[in-house]
Amino acid sequence: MLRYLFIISVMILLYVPAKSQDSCKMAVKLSLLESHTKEPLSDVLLYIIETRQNALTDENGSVFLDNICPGKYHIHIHSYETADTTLLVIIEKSGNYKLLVNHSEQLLHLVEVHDKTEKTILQQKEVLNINQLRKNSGKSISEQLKNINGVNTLSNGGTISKPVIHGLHSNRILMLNNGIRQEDQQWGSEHAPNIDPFIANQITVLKGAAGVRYGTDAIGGVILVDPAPLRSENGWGGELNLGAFSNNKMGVISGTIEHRFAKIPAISFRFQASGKQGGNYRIPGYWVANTGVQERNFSGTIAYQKPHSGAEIFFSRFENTIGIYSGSHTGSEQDLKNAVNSDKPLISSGFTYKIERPRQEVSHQLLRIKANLDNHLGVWTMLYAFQNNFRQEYDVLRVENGKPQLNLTLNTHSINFNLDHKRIRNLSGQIGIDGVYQHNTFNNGDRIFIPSYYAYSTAAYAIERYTKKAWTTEAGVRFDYKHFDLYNPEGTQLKNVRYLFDYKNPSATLAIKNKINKRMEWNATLSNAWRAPQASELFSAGFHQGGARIEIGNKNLKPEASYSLNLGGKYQMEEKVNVDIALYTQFIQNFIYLSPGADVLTIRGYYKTFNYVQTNAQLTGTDLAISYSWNKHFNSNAQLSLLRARDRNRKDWLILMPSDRLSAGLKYTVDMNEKLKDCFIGMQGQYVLRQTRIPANFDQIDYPRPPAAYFLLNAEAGLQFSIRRQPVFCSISASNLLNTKYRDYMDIFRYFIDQPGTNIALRLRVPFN
Amino acid sequence: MNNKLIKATMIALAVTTQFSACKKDENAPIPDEQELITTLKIQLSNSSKGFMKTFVYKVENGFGSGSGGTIQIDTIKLEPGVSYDAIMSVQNEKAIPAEDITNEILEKDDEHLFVFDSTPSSGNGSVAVSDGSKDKNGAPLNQTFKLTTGGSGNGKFTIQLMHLPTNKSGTTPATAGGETDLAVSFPVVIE
Repeated sequence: MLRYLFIISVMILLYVPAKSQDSCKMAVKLSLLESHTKEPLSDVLLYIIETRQNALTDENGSVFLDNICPGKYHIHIHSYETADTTLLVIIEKSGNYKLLVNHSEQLLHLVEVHDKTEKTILQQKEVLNINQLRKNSGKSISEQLKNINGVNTLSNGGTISKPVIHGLHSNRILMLNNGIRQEDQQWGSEHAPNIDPFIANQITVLKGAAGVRYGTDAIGGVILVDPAPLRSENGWGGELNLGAFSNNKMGVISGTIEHRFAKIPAISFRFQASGKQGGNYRIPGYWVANTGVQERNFSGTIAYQKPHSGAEIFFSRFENTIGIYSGSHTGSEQDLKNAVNSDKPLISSGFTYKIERPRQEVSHQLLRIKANLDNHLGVWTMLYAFQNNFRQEYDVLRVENGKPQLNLTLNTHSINFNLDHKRIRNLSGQIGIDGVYQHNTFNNGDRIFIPSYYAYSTAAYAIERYTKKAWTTEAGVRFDYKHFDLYNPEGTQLKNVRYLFDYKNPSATLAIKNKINKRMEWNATLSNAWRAPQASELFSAGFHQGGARIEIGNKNLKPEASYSLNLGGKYQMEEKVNVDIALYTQFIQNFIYLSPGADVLTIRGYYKTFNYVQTNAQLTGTDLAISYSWNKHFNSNAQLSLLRARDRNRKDWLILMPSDRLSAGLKYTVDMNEKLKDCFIGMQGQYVLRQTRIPANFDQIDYPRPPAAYFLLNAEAGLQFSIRRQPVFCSISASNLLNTKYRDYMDIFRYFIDQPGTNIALRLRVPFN
Repeated sequence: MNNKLIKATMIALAVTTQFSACKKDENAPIPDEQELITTLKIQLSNSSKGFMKTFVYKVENGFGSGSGGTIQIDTIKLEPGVSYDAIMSVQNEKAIPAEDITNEILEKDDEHLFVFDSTPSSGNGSVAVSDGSKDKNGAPLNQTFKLTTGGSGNGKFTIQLMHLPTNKSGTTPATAGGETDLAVSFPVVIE
């Protein structure tokens, strides 16, 4: 029975004149508005019947459709249980089309079911879309993320890197792979995220604390890696990607096939695999010994999808072997000084694909099961995941024994129940609970790294969003409980001593967004997050191979709590001008860091010791991005990113924080003819300043001072052509085009060697349908 | 309606309580210090003087602790202007029984090199090294050598073992290259 009469009228207003008619290349924006109040309706699922596309309206009630042909389109507006509604829209030109619907409680908002990328909370965010990801395909996730303003990397040379958001990294940011918290990178800078970048269709970075929806550890931000929606048309599809990189003579291949059954259209599947092999990489003038890399990944998804229910099983395996430059392992402070004082690599090498000790062999497996159902209350989702992370480290030995010196296993089970409740007037939102069980262990006789432990955590959260006219307000609360059961080997006989820790913490968020007019909007987010100290921070008592120093844990560490305020402004003038400014300040209570202690005598001489201690930190900064289209062909852009990281207790700068940087670029795009399309050529320059804001006692705890400022030039070009109606995309890019010799402060290898030299990449993409 | 919410909550709680009810693993793994060296022993002898003595430099902490552990540093007491035959052995005395690592070094003698330093470098209180032993390729290893004392006085004798040196004819850690496995400093008294 229809309890409400909805959709009384449909009006289509065209207010932006289109650009030239290029059939099937039109860009269309559909805006869904309430017919009386003209308020935008966000989070409503639209299904375009002719193109079989699903699209979810954003905070402004809009969806964007690319490559649309002129014609009549039936737009199906999905609603709860009862009959859905279909509108007819005649699209003749690119532009903005308004859809007016009568307000109804029946409109179904947010349907994760339909595989649109996960809805993000109202917070400063930046997105790498599929086109940006394709331009950089073959690079690691962290290297891809570098293209987001305000995101840098913390690296160990050219092969291992992890993302840094607004100065924070490792266990202070969260990565969600297909909605599942990636459990593999808690340990240190030499542990990169184990995610195959070819899985990603979109990567979203939420800047600032985001603990309420995503849980503990999201102090600096959250990175969401989302795969493409499964195929919505019947039949087969797929894609082949090939890449070749000059610097380390690396080859990359990735293939995807997917199918949707015509007879049983509720079922579709996808299988994807990728691999890469690279050898020693090159810095200006030298090869770097033992820096080869190998990677083998695959994933599969099968989904059963009905309009109001569905289930999906996803499995992925990531496996890699990474060689570590042997000159980066130093036996004593003197060794480290010798390496620092040499302007060439102390270990000389030629080119090889062979990977010797020291090396890492890592595998990561993820099984994810998702089920959903919607009824008159809203959309119910159950998400279960099991992750197995296995890491083996092979150290340099006196006598080769064929065995790894570290075998680390991290198993994690997690479950989430979430209800996206039905819109109640202007209020939409979600409530949910989380449960996580984790076991971290190693093999008997391994090198000391971190103690084995069991961790149990539970959480409950609620986030509500209120939308009225040009205003959107979002508020959320969460409560977490975490229990640690840890076994630390102690004493000369290394007997395990059991420790129990309990941490509980509330967190909250409040965000406002206001659209001042068609072109301008601003937002403000006040949020917090927390994280419990890691096992390594509590108990580490060992030699740090890279830094020739001893790090000592502290059992009495309290959890870190972060409170952040982010302000953002956007100005957008119809594809001509785009200005994006973000200001942030973040206060971190009980910020955990390493403070220098007394020297300790060892059989290798005196060592510096560093103790884990806590302070209050304040990180303040800004990200500014401007782009301007001079005409149909020329586009220019500029970005600026500044950060000031203070230790409030000692009234000093914090160590190892990214320095200020700016970049600018120019791009020329043109369609030559029907056969040669999307031709582009571009140039991007980046200038990174020397970090001069360092602790007063820097010379006592680190050597040498942060490296000098540097300028890098990158270039790219590409085009699309057809061979017997089969489209082929081809591009070439060059990073560090001038083969500039430089070192970066956020690279642990800055003590030993320069950054990689010129790297020219060739990419080929062939989609099948 | 609300039943479903309650049901979902119940399931989640049941699952989490089952997790916490998991059996505790009292047999958590025990790590081992890899290739630990605690001790360098140097035996000095002079048959014509009927002299033979072993001096010990031992720091037992390894890298598993933030404190020094058991420390024994002998003072090398010798006569002025005399040559002694020196033989070095490297051990892990934390293992029971103590593990002699000297043989491993001799097996891979092309991947190891001992380098020496004396303060003062000459004159009273100094020692000089000569006739160091060679590896299988005829390049220096210096596991055995001849130690000649200078005049009466106090000094310091430093021995370092380099693993995978990049230059086998190097005489200091900086010129030899590689990773330091051992760096010990004996006080020297010549009287």
